[in-house]
Amino acid sequence: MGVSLSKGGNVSLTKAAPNLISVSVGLGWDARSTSGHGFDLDASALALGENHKVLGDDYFVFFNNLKSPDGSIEHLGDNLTGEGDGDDEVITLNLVNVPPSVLSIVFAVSIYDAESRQQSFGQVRNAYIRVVNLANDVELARYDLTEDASVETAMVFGEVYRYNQEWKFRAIGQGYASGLAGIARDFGVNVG
Amino acid sequence: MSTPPPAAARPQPAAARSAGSSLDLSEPAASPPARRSPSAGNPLDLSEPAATTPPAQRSAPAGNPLDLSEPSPPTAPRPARHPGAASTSLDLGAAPLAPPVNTARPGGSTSLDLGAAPLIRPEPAVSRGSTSLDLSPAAPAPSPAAGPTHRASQPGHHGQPSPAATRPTGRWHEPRTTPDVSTILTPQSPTVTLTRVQSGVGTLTFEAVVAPGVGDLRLGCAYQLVSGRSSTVQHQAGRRYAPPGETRRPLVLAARQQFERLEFDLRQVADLERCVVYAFSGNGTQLEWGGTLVITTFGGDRIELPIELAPSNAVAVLASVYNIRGQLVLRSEMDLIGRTIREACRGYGFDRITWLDDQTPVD
Repeated sequence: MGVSLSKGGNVSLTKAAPNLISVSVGLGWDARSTSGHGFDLDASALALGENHKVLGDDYFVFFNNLKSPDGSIEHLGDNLTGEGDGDDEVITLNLVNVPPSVLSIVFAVSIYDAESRQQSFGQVRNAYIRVVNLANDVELARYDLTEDASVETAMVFGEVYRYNQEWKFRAIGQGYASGLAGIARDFGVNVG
Repeated sequence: MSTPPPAAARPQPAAARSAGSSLDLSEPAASPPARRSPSAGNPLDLSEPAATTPPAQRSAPAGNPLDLSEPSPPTAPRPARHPGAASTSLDLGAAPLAPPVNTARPGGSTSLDLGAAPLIRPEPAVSRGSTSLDLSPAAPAPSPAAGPTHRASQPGHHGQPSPAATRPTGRWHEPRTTPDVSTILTPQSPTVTLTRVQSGVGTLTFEAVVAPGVGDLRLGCAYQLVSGRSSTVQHQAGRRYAPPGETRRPLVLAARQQFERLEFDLRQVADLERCVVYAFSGNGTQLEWGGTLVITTFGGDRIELPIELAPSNAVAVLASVYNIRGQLVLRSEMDLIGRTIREACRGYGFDRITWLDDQTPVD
């Protein structure tokens, strides 16, 4: 079991696992619908450069763009229902191949069609993000989102970022009321 | 997505190859991808060369995405235009590489014609009535982008320079939308490619903005899913949801507000292989075609397709949409293609749809 973080906390992945090459970032949740509609939550990753903006639209990795241009960030696919144990969605990072211009990779989760379905993170429980060393499946860090959300339809769970020569992970838990498009816009993606 | 990108060459069917006489030395090793209707492929026609077509019959619209004179972008294949030709059992739904072409060589070449048809010719071929011993290169092989002959009669297609003459020297750039400025698709510039974000976030809306004087213009959409499922949505017929019966989470929703509209749920874009948006007269009277098909992305970018067609009560395919590796390629078609919805759909290769009548698929 890795370090369990609270909101705002951070941990050095490189110190926890010297010679770290690649990690998987697993995101999970349980959702309870009150409107009769099923819940569909989607994980995404945004590779950010300076100014905390994406290097380009191709660095917004989500269900319709499963890999960054260099292949270092890969979304392993969608879980439409969130049912079952374990991670609901997984994004892998090959830290060695992440371009030097990428200073951080932010991980977000959004509720599909939240507005018309009248759904929000207020109905989501047991949300978490965890970072696992792909070389040995050892969990390096974990953040359980215990904050009570209400109207948020998207949320940044955490980020993996460079700090000097290290890779670190930070627990964020920042909510957005504007869904996936709102997060994408905030980080400089041209939603068009 | 499984929609195949336009290929430069497709091996001819064995039957087509065997149609050539053993004396026919004109057939190049790499035959051009000519698609023939069954009746056109006379196995006894010894004069049949490798598909050659005079340039006048091959005038393709400028900016044709299949034009091999440009670096090949991931663009939509060109569907068949002729319902009869498109509805064969061999049509797998994917657009053919080339429409039916006139295989008769001008000048009446024979099986002894030694003039190999080159795939690329530096200058436009001019028919000079070649003889059977004509050793000069024949007309150039047709480009897979060759459009149907009736296309050439449309406004804006006259006097277009040959593809070779317009070969771009610089790097080809995929046409994209521009923020705050509408992208207008015309015969000269018929396509635009949405980014993966534009193709995957929110809703993509098609709306037929037309004046009352046009008539009772109605919209519909024929679609093919990655699963192979294929059908139509059409608000006027009460067929509002795609896939049929999927009322909670439709991929396509046919609706009507001030105008007829179609809404695509891009969260499910990975399930969509291709579709066409068609228009027709709701009350059967002739339409004075006009107005604009307006496509709006979730982020607010607009793509406008002027509807410029001769008055008719035929069904017109206004636009096609192909999902090319997660990016939607939108193309202005403006094609009066058939008398019925069924004919229009078959004309665009939707032969996986079975029909109750000329308007209604069996779902």
